[in-house]
Amino acid sequence: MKAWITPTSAARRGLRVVRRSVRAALRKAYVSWRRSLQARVVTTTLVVSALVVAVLGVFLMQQITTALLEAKERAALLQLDEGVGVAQRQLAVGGSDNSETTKSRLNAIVTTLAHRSGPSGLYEVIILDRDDPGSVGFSSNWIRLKSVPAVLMRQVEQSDASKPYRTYGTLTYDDGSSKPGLIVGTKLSRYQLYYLFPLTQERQSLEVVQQTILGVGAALVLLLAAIASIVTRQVVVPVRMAAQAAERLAAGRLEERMKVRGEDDLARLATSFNDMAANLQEKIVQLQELSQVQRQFVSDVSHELRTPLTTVRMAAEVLYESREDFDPMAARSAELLQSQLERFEGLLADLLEISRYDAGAATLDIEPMDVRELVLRAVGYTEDLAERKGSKIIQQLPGEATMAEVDRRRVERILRNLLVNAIEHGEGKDIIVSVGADRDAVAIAVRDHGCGLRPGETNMVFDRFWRADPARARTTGGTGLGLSISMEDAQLHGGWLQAWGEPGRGSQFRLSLPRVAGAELRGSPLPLVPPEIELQRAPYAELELEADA
Amino acid sequence: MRFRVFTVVLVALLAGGCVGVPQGGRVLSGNAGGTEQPIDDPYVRIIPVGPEHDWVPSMIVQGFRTASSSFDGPNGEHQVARSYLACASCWKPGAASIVYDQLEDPISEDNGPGQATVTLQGTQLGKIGADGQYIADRRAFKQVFHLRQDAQRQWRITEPLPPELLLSRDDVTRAFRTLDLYFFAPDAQVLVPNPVSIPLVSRSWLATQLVKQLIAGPTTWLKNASVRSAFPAGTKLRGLGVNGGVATVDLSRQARAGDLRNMSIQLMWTLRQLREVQQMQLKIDGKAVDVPGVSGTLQSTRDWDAFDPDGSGEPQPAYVRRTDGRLAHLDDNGAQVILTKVQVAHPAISYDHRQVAALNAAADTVTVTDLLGGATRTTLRATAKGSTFTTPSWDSRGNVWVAESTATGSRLWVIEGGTRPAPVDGWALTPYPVRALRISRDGTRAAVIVKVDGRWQVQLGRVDRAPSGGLQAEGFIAISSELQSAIDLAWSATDHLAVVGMTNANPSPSLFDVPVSGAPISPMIGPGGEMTTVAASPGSPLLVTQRVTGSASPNAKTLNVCRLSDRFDEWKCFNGTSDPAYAG
Repeated sequence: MKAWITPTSAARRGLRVVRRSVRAALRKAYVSWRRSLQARVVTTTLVVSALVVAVLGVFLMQQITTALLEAKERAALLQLDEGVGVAQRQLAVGGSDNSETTKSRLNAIVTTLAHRSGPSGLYEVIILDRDDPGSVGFSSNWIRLKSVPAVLMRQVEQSDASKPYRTYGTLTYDDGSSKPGLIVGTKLSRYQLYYLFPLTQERQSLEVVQQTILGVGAALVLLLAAIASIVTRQVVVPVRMAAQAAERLAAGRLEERMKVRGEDDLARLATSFNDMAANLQEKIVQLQELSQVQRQFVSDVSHELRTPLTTVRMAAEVLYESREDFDPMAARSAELLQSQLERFEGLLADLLEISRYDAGAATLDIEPMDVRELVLRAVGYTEDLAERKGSKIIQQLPGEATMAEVDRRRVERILRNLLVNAIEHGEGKDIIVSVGADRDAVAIAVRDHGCGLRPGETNMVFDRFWRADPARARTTGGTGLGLSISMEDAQLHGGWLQAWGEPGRGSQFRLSLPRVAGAELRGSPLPLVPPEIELQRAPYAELELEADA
Repeated sequence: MRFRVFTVVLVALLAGGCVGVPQGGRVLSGNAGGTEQPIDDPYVRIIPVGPEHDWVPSMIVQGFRTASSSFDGPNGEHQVARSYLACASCWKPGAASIVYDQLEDPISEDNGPGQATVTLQGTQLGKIGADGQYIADRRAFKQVFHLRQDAQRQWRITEPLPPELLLSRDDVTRAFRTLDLYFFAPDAQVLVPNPVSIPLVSRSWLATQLVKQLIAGPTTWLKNASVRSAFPAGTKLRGLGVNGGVATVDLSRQARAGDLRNMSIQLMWTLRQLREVQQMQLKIDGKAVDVPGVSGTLQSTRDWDAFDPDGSGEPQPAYVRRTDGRLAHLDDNGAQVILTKVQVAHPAISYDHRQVAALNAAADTVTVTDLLGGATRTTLRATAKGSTFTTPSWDSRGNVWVAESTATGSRLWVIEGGTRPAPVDGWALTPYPVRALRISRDGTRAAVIVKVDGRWQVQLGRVDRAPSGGLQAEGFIAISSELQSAIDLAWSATDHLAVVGMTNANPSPSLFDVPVSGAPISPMIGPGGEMTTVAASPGSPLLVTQRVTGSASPNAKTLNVCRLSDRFDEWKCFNGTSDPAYAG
């Protein structure tokens, strides 16, 4: 039993391999059909020209066959006519009509006619005499009587004398061989005379012609395909080069240009492409310069504002110190001046930080740190604010130290920003800070249960001066640059800062950092979407909740 | 762009199509491949049919006779004719046949219920033996057929059946082919043809049958001439195939004992009569063997050309007698005298062209003379009164044969080596007068014109040694029943005679080509006038003496030797010459 299982399984395996390779080839062909204009043009030419050549070939073969056979039939009938003449002359000689002389005469007729056929065996002759006991007639060489089709024999037998009939059939010989043949026959007084022409020569000629047509047709089709390939290549190659140039341009190599050859349509394409690239490059450089100027301007303005601001602040402080000496209106103004100056100072500091990033001047000051410690410090910093807003900060920290190579100042700032942001939008509800770690990365997630984010806002929160509620006064809250700066800080670490939020369900910000500075971050130890939300989304979780209920 | 390509292709195709049949050009020689042999003549067969319902006994016998003239079936076993027999497998005919000239209507006799006898009778021309040897023998014959009605009340022929087929001359011409088997002369490396008639069952069968008969040995008639065959006793043909001009002959292992060279010569000369054979490969027990004298295992017909039984086949010098009785050399300009002193009549030249045997004017003395110098070697005088000698004849070993004949009998002389005359004891034709005698080149056969039953017949006999050791010439058989009378003969080839004779249809002397096989004779165009003698040699033009009425007086008749041009069938006559001779 095993003996036949093995080969079948081997065969099945082989079949599978074949099927797989065929499928792969088909897929490859499909892909190249989709992708390559040249392949499409060549295939179409191949198919169409093969069809045309096949139709032409069949038509040609039919014409040649008909012409050849018609000529043969004409010659055969003439030959038969001549044979009838010879036979009639020989039959007319001599008078006595006994079986012996008749036989001798028929013998002589067939011998004469067969002699005329020549040594190459142009035809065979059969003469039939129904009246002789023991034989029905004479035949030449090895031809069998069976070669004369019964239909023809009946037709000749019933016909008028010397009316010739012809048909095609198979000539069979005594050695068992057979070939196609043309058989003509007529009635000759009471005898029947048949000429049998083997069509071997004709068949050979037709075979030669057929082979020639096949060969020439195949060569023609291949030639056409090759020509189509060459022609399309002349078009496709410059198009491909243009595509490559465009790709390189898209990749940022603005100096890329196409070679212009000749004056044809493709040269025009290259020229216009080059013009486009040049214009594009000019505009991009202009924009880059403009952006540079703007950034410089912001940085300069911030720097320039600092010195007068220090003076203003010192003056304001003096006023603030002595506010009790003023009348209530003036005292209130001094207080207002003081608070708005603090805000202005913070804004200026943030602007400077941002402009440092824009100028590419920000650097990391890396040291191994326990992330939990950073979290604790940030929480400690914001606890007062949280209390004021009525929120409670809940910390979910791992038991062991969670070390990572980070810039302590920047990460602290990120955490502070996130916490302040969470307290501001937390609507007095709990804030959860959780820390997660795996082999490669650490993550800190800050979750609030405030109004949450609308769809599409999760990316906008990191934009500069973006506010969740535009109606809200600028006076409250931060500078509007906190999350932008945090994003820049996270990216400087090679980490991610991501936000999630749903209206009415709060939001969560997650900071993921690689443990080793410079390593690429592949995943985060904490989920971006809080687990309880994720659980509710899953259909089976809903079922579970129903069951609980 | 593609359109342009299409246009170019289309133009090319059209230009190709315009090429037609050439209407002029160089003149080239053609080669049809292979030479035309009589054996390649188209073959005509009778289409035999079985008996029909309710045929009477005479019809059955006639039908059987007609159907049995066809060698149908894979091995020529007369398949259809057997359906006329009560016991189809009981009949075992060979090639043995009676060749009839005339057949009378069948005589049917009723022998009681369900039994009948049909007698066929007529005159026969001759018989073909079971070994294929034809013997002309004109006489009356009779064959009796017994018939019985079978269960369906149909007449069928029963045992005993006549042992021989009954065939007309047409049947024989149609169904038989005459081919030569080649054997070696008893004491010389010369091939002797042995003509046999073989039924033509199929072309491939013919080659096999030919080789089978060659291995089986000569016909009974020639066997007594003690010709030699190189095939050891017991050798069988294992197989024979002809493919692409190469005949592969596979012999059984007994052939190892034989002389490969001689076997090859015999096989090649026998097989080369078939056009499809140009080369031969000899195998023994399935393994191809190398034959000494041949490079490779493939032998070509050219390899054994030296053994041509007809000699070199090149034109031989011709000799004539001038009116002044001198021997002359015949060339294009006429007769050039060679021997000035000697007077010759009916000269015969030896094969080495050194000696001439000639008669005197009265034809009662034979003289052998050296052609160089003219010294007489020996003289043989007639022993009986009133007897005359026939024209002498040389064989290739240098013996002169001459018959001395009276009106009532004859005797044969041989002059061995041209010097020692001796009577031949075993002369089978002693009681009959002889008009002409010619020995074949190989020296094994003698063709004679002998008067038997008041008719000058052409007969062929064999020359060999009697058990007692003396030479004998016996076993004479008639080779043609068609010639009514004959005047002179000569060997035109090793198996053909040129005969001046008369037939029933043509009572004046004419020239005939007579195959020694007994195959039909064919008339040849003569130079006109009354022909008296003929000389022939293989590959050389025929020479004929013609008696013409002289212009001087109507009674004076002069003799002319006429030569058949070797290029056209045209005769050229030389005045004042007679008694033509070639070597032999």
